[in-house]
Amino acid sequence: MESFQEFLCCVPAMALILLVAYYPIVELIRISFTDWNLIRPTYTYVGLTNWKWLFETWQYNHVLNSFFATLKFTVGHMVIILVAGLLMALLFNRMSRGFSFMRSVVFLPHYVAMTSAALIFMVILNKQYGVANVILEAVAGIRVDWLQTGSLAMLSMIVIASWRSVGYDMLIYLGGMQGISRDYYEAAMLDGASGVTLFFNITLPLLAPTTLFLVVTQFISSMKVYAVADVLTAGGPYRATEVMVYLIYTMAFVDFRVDRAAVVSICFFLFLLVVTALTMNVSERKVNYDA
Amino acid sequence: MKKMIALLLSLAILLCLSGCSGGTNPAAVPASTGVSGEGDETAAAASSPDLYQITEPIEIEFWNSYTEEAKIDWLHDKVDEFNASQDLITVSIMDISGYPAVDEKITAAQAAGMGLPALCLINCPREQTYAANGMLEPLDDYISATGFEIDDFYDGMVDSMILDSDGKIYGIPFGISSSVVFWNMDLLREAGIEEMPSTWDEVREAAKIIKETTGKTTVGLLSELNYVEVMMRNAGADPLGDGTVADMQNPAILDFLTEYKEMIDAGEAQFYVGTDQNTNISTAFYSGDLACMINTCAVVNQVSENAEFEVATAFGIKDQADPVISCVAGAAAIIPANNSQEVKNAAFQFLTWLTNKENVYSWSVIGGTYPSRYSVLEDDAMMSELYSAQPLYEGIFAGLEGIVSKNKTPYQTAAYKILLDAMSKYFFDGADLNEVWTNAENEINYLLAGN
Repeated sequence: MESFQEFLCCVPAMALILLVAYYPIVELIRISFTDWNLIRPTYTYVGLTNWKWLFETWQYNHVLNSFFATLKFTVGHMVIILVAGLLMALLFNRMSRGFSFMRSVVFLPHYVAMTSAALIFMVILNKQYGVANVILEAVAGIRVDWLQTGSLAMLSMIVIASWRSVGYDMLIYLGGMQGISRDYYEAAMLDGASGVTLFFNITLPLLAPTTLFLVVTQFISSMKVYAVADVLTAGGPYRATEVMVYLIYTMAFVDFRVDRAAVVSICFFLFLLVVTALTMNVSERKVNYDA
Repeated sequence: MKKMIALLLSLAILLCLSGCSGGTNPAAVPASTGVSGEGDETAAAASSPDLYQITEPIEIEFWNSYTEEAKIDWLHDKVDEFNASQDLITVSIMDISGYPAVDEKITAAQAAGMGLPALCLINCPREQTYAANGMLEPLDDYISATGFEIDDFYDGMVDSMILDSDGKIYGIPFGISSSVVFWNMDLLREAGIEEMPSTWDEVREAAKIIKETTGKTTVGLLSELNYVEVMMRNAGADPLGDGTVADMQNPAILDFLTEYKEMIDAGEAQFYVGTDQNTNISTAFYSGDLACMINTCAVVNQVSENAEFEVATAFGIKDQADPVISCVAGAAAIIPANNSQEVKNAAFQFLTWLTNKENVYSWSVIGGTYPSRYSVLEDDAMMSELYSAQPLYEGIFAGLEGIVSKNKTPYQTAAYKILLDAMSKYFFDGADLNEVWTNAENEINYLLAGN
């Protein structure tokens, strides 16, 4: 009886999760087997037609291009935010007023909506009138087309997204560092360990759980990048920054091919699931939780 | 308990999957228009004015996609005026920020089968796609039954509202705009050119002189479907051909591309790309660095306010096409099909009032869009007042007979994305025209084939 009452307490939350999380996934799988285009009132089941489209027309459907663009963004973004976040956490890991203020300053961009940030940076990076090029021309005598050169457009996206996210990683690392027992450092310093030795042999290994958490969450978050690509570059130039979510959105709501967008979404979802599962699998053997 | 939760979740998922039956989205099936039967009987029944009357009070929703304050205020005033003028129909207006937002909202409402407005302003290119998928109400029966003055609307504008597959009209031209040409006359005179160039050859000549004497760029073209289609069709060919097979290897198009690249390389022309291209072209024009801006006529009031030099306007640049053409863009007023007949009747009655001669005229004054009725252009008093309020209209409206429909392929937006990328690669990356254009053509033909 008590167990049934406990179960009843969970039902509202479960119903919400089913409705908001699981039902859409099931519906997505169903749509991938139809030819529905979102606005037509009728559709038919077409079996594996859309799935065949994905693999047979790879040179025209740009899915592979989007996948690699997203991977490039993710790798670049994650390297910057993990390394810079850790370094900033090391730097500001002291409870003084000055450092407390600096921690707030570094974290502040996290409060800015990505869309707003992208709009502002679009003005800053404007080739003709942007302040970035005005400074660059004054210093080096050159003007750079930040948003119309494929590699630079991707770099601009990575830098903007990293500027916004690094504060979050810094805070998480700070929390992890606070959780490391001082005894390890004291014992090592008694043995004459230098700062670098302390970092590589104590801090970094004992931050492994924190790093794992950030790698998993930031990987998923980075792979789902959309706002900065939509506002800053609209997927250009020449689809160089056409990331997966942008491609899926364009397919579904601009071209009205929601059936194909469903197929791409499912493949994307499965990829993220597999990578996350593999990461967790590796972490069970490699990550030390004893801090 | 864990087992019970797992069992419940599994049952729920099975229930979701069991909904996978049938091929119809019942929520989105259009409501009956109340007309049945075949042949002449159907035509007669459908044209009966009684079918389109409002007999009881009704409230309807009107979605506005404009974001400019003056236009929003005008629409709100007109809604209030209409509501006050009669007792049966009450219109409430919802302001939605821009065409993309309206597209999202209306497609979501269509998919959900609820929440559709009675009347909506959408971007003209979308009208064909929505009509082809049964989302819009065909207006021919409403027009013939109520005596709507469709013949008073510009042929090219009405043609852009017609779905070729069934020949029916699915929208009424409301805020129609198109690509036009703005000239900086002060810069032209500085280069010793007294008259505004009107043909492509004259533009090329002027560009050389302007570059030599002032060092400034002459032609600014936006990397957008609205402008590139007009330039190419005026050059002599539509790159998308008849909408089923591309005509990109047409010599007229290749010549245009080659000439434009020469002008870019010589600093005589610019092809503005990127998400901030509109800002860049406007800034270049207003700061006097650009002699000729090819842009939408909807910015005519903005040009008047910001240009600190004499501006002249033209409907287009004459090349091979005769007369000069410009393609319909801007807003169409549409009535979604998936509403009750009473709602659609009320919407059409409101639309008829909103697009009467006086309202079309006053909308042009504040909107920077074309007066879509012939009777407005033929009314000397109205046009005299319009040209006094905005002198730049005179050069633009002089060519209004050349307004034509865009290419009606539903894949136009996707095809132009490929085409514009190819143009950018050729203009800026040193790519071989034959290679990049052939690759683009292959991809576009694949798209046009319905893949």
